[in-house]
Amino acid sequence: MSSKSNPEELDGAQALIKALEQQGVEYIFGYSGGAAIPIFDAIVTTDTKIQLIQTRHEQGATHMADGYARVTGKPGVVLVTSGPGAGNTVTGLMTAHMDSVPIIVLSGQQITPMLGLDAFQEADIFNITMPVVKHNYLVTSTNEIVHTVHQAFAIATTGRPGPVLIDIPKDVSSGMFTATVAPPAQKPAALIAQKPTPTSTDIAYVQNALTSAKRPVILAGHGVLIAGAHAELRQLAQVFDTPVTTTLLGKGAMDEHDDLSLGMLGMHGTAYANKAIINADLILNIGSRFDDRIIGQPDAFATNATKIHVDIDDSEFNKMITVDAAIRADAREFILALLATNTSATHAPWRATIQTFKDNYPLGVDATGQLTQQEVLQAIHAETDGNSIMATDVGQHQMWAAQFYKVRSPDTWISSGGAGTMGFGLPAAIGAQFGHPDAQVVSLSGDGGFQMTLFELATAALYKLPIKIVILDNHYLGMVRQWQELFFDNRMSGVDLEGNPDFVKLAESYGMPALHITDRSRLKEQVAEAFAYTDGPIVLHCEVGKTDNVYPMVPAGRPLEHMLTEAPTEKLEKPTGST
Amino acid sequence: MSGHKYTLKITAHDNIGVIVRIAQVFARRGHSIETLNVVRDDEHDTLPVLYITAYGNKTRIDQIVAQIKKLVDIATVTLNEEQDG
Repeated sequence: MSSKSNPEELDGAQALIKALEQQGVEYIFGYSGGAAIPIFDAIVTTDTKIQLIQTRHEQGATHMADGYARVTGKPGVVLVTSGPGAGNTVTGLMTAHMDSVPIIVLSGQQITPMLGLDAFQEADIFNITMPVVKHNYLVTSTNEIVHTVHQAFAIATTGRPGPVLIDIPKDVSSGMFTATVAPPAQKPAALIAQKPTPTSTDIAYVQNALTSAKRPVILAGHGVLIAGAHAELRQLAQVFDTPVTTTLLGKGAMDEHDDLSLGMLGMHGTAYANKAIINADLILNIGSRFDDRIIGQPDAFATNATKIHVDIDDSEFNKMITVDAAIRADAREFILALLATNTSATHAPWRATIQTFKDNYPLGVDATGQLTQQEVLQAIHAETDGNSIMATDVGQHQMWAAQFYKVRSPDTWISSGGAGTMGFGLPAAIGAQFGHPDAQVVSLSGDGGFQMTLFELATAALYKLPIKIVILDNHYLGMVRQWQELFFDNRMSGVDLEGNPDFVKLAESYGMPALHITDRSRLKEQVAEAFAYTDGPIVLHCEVGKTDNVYPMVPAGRPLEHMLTEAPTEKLEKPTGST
Repeated sequence: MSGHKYTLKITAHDNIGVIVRIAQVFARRGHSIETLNVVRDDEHDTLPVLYITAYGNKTRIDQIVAQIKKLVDIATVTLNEEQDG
């Protein structure tokens, strides 16, 4: 079989693998099953260089592809079977869709004559996934496979990126492929010109706004990273002497150690970033969608500021915030055009005010009781100098990491922002390590999220990935507990994670070493010991305070002016905002 | 039925599921479609045209139009507000 070189002799599955090769695919994160057997077989019979990464669950596979895509900028590829296998990719697809990450999910499907007849392991994954993908396909003819793959990659990676699912019935993958496997000469017409440039009028307007503003702030989102515009952003900030705050997904667009960086804004952003936004007279948003977690109360957001929104996706304009100017452009093209005007500005009094905010409202740690999550994060930052790839899960630890783990470089901060998917961290870290085998990768989870995908410890162990797997264990779903304490009269419901396993023994049962960290006096030394180990994964089980709360906090749906920088002394109203 | 009546004229590539994709943009927002007509002109080999009417406020309808425009299978969307609707 492996000697087949004549295109006429390929079956659909083999043609599929050839098309993936043409797209430069290195890895397929997969989990097999009946309807996908022909495709898994083709990985063997085509002698492909593409490496199959055997996962333990389809959700894990999708988050791995996502982590791979976020650090490399190349689409991550997933291969699963029909029915429950495909169904288990929905959370991963939603996660990638919400955060504009290009992944390709290939799902096996029942044979075409059986579609809609409730055959074994048939799920209508085409319709199920429609709302959580950029686009999807149900391939009904073997000869369409290669063309569909090339279209899927073009759609996933152009404009605003996103996931694409290709559902492939078993008779389609098993049938003889008689078309050509050559990639199409050009991208589909709808995808041409997806790197829009700003008009000269737009640039003149922004240039004038930045030079005449007294208190400008740049708000940088994921779009800056997707466009590869981090170097240009820094130059822009310097030339116009303008501080930069980022969204959760924008972390890394600006070196957070830079004087011009304000860190993350929003619900759990730094107080100085939020105060800068509150006091700004100009907000230049590049590549952020004004998410509800950063704006608080939409009609009370930065009411004194002129707001300019630059985005590649014009459906984001005036969706959350009504802006003074909306500019459809690729983030890098926009910044380059602005830099090309060769203008500059200085905002010395404003920079001094910002420094006062930083001095008066620093991020704080109360290091008197039990070990805190913040201290662990500070220790990891000190050990890595912010140069690791950091993949987080979702919850309190994620917000503290956003505050305390200052990122230096683009595409090294991986976090589920829009979807807030618990269980994302560990598999995303695995995907990131495959994407950058030589990088130091940290997987950071709470005890709740870690247990949602801990089965992928097997994948990390199998491939001997030197990931530092940090579990910040407070025995609670901490963020929900925090809300219950603050807004629900401290009534705890469904948040106590009694019954957790012994995480050290668990790690050892997968054949990997583990450290139990409880004592702040040994923290630095134990973190250094763990980070010095590079023969494979290592688990750092950190037992931390059970009832610490994340501050600053802007209650959901409230204006940023309502930010709490410490525990409130009076009862708070229940938030009316989303979550 | 509240707000003004709008008509969306949509030209779409005739791929499997395209009507579902459009309908989902409305359904996700808890928004109803009042009427839906599909017209095709096989003689001139042009794209099928969908006419959708819906009630709503302008901001919401504009969002729906923007999201439908983003769908890969959609070629064009034009919006008309019905007079005396």
